[in-house]
Amino acid sequence: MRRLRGVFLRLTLLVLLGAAAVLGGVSAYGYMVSRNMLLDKVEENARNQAQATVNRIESVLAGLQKVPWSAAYALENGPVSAEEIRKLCRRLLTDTPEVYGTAVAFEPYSFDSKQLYYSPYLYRHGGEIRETMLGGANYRYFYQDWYLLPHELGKPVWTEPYFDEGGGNILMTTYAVPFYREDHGERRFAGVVTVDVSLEWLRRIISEVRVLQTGFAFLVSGSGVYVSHPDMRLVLNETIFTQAEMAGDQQIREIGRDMIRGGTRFVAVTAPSTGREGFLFYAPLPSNGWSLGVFYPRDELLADVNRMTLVAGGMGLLGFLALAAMAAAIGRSIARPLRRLSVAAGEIAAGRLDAALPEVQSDDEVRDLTLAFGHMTASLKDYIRNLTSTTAAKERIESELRIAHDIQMGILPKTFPPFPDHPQFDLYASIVPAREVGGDFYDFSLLAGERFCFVVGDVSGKGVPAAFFMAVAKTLLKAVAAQGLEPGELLARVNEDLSTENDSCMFVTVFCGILDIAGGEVAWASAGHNPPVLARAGAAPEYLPTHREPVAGAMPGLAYTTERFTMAPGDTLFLYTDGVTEAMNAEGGLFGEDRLLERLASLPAGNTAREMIEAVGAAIGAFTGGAEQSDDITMLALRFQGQGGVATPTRSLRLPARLESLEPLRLFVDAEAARILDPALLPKVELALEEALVNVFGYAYPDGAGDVEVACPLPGEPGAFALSITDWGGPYDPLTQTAAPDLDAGLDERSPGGLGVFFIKTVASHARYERRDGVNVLILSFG
Amino acid sequence: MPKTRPALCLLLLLTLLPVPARAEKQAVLLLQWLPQAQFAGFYVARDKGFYREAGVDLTIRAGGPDILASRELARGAVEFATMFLATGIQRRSEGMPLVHLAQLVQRSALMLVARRDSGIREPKDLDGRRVSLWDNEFQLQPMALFQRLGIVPDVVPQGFSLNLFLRGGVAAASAMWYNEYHTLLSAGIDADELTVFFFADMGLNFPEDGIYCLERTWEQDPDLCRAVVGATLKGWRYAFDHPDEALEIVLAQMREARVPANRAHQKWMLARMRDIILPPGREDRLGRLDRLDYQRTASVLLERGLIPFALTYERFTREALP
Repeated sequence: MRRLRGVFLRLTLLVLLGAAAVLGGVSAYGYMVSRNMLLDKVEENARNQAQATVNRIESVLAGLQKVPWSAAYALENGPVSAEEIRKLCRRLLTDTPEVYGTAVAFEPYSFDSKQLYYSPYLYRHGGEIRETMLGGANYRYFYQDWYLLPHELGKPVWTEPYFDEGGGNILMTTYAVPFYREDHGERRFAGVVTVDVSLEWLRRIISEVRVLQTGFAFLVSGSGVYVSHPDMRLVLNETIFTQAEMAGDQQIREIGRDMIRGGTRFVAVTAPSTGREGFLFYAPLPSNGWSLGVFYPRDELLADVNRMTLVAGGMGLLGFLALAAMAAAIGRSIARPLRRLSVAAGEIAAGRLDAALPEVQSDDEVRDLTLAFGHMTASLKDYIRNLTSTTAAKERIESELRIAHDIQMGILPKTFPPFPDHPQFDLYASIVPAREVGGDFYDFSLLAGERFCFVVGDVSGKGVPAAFFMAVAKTLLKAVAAQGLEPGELLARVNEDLSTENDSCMFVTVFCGILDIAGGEVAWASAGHNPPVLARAGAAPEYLPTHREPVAGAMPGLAYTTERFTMAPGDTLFLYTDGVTEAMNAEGGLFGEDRLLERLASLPAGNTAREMIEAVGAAIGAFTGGAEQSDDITMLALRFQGQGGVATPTRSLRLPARLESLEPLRLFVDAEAARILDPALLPKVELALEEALVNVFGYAYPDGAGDVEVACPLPGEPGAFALSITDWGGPYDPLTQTAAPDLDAGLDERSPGGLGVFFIKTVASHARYERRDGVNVLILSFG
Repeated sequence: MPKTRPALCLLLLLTLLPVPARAEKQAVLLLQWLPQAQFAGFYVARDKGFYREAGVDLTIRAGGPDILASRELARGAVEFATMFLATGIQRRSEGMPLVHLAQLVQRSALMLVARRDSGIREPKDLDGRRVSLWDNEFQLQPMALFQRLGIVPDVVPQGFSLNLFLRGGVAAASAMWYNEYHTLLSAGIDADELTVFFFADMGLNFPEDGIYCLERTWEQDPDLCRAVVGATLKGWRYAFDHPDEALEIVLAQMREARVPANRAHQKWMLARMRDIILPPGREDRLGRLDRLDYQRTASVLLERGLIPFALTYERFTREALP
């Protein structure tokens, strides 16, 4: 699910990213272009505005310049008397309202050879014109700029602005023109004519310059001194250079230098006093070398552009969000059916084949996918249904086979030793089918006249057919054997019966033998079966040569030869099927007759039939090493033990009658009983033994010590295994206890010993007490 | 403690009683020019109350163009005045009975400035060029230099501004290191566009600002003189230790006197005053007149024939240091 969203998310993100990039690019470009356009416009505007202002100022200044010129001209050429001068000045003042005052200052002794200073000064005061004389020890005007500069420079000058104290602190500047007179044929500097001009009109012009909201215009003199500025404190106090020095701004200093050089430029600056960013346009005043500057604050300047960009950006953002929403909606409309399909697919994959697939409205790939998925699911369901029924049938068959196996195994005799009453022979057989049911079998039975019949057979093929044939053959053999025939006759009879109704052409190999229990003579016949191994006691085992007479059940009318041989006590006859000799290992090698013979030869003497078969079985297992079993492995071993001679000698163990002797005695009996008895009976033997021994330990020798002797296995006793417990104590028959113990009473309420006898009587198949020659003998039999 | 409380009350009462004011001596001190950081120590001493602490109710008057400090002192309009050492020696030799009390400026700040692109690289390049010089005592060092070098520049009077120089009327002009030099920078000229000649580096290191009074003022009340000098020196030390505070005091004074003032210029001026009042190696000699410096100045004046004779150092200065 996450992956689906991942694809959709990636796609959406890519699209949105692209849109954002485009939007961003367009906005940025738009901002840049409009900003530049605006700045160009502003520059043009500034240029025009500044130029207009400069022109206004210039027109006044230029006009004023003409005034003292004409006066100087008159002074140079006309008569120079006090009255003339006064008239000149008065007319000047009257004609030029902008002039505040005018002076005519003479060189020392130039006007009057007796007067060092001579400088009449006429000025306005209130509505009238006043007159005074400048010059004196307290005002040595020769050193004043308005005199010194035109004198030394030889040309008219505009002085630096100054505050006029007398006139009410008005900002003033003076235009001074030198005049010369002929003196003894020489043109000599005679003095200076000045006009003092108030700069208030100039300040007004400049303050009227509208520059956006908080922009302003200012004026600096030829040495950078502020003449006009919205911040009045700067006027005449600071120069543009001292401001640059305090702000540490080298750019401002450079701009100032350019301004006083008469340059003109539109440049981006940071205002030194306020630190505001903005643009400065400056242009010079040609007449006096002052410079006009106009400052446009950046934030106001670009306010419109910024606003426009913000609005555009906002619109773009909204559009972007709308685009994102649309993309999300479309994506969802695609993703939803996909997601639902994947959920349904998940359900189906988990095994719920009936999970409903989502409805798809759109006629697109998603729909195709859904339909295909539906078909697939239907096919899958059919397939599974078929498989299920097939599997069910198979399981039915298999369970039937298992039952068949159990039945088949059930018909074979399993109890060993099968005839414990006949210790003359020891028999053991085992069968390990390759499949659940197989064709191998063995059988044995006691016949009349102390004869014992035993057979081993192998039906051709495997599986159920072989099993059926095997059941028939075995049953037939048993039935015919009861008639007391010789083995050869027996086989011929069985062959007739089998081959008559044998449509399936199956056959069986059989070895049949009949043992005379008393004498040990064995009569036998073999229908194509593997030659058995005869292992005579003390000699190497050999194969019993057969006549290779044909298998049974294939053809009617066959005769079989009965052979005979006699077994001595200790001799063992080993029968088997080809599952033994043809057992295959992983490399495909066969176990083989030689190896079988080897194994049988290597067995120690005195092995029981069971031990022999187990050893061969282990050898086969070791050989095959876990490779699959190809055929049933069937073995039967018959050991002749002879009359009177008990193959297993009775052994005895005598120990003091104390609790410590219990364990060794138990182990001794266990070892002997295990040779003969079914392992399931051993705990019973132990229990009985233990109870009997404890009785002896407890009550046999009240005065002190004594011994107890256990002997087993005892011959001639009923049961498969018998033992005796002997003690030399007073006569005591443990078996004669009164009633059965009160099982319901608590353990300590019951009389001691009672339970033990109960146990003994229950677990032992036979129990007998004898008193012989002053000895107590308790005999217990099992099995 | 009940026992000490009446004693405390009595003490408190005593302090509140109108104590007859210490007879504060009245005096007027005239500075040789308009208010600026050149006189920071004086203004600081006044505003911080050092004069009052010393028992003097001192009025400070500013000079300016056309106010001659020595003249005012001579006519008794003021008790104390500041002037250049050369001026003091001249007046004394002319017969004015003034005495030197303390020497503030140890190193001459007088200099000549020229535009580098006018071709003037060395003092001898001034020969035949238009040079504006301040008159009176300010002519002493330049004239001595010209004589020594054997050059004859075209000397032009220098007014109260540098506009003649700024407008190209002269090739070189007089300037004070702490004042007019920075004015040029503040008028847009870069330091590397100027050639400067310091008289202090040319063997003409005449000490400048010092405090003077008439002999009779000294004889009548030497303690007053010492008090004034002591407070003034204290004021200068305070000004150098607290330059920002001193600047504020000076700027306030200038604004009050309607003198064009800006912080950058005064800051420069105060820093340079420190250089010339406490030059390296002479930090412990605040207020002292160096005997050698005095003799050097006097001998040049004598050589140039500006004074007929020169007093001995001991007779010239009273060294009225506390």
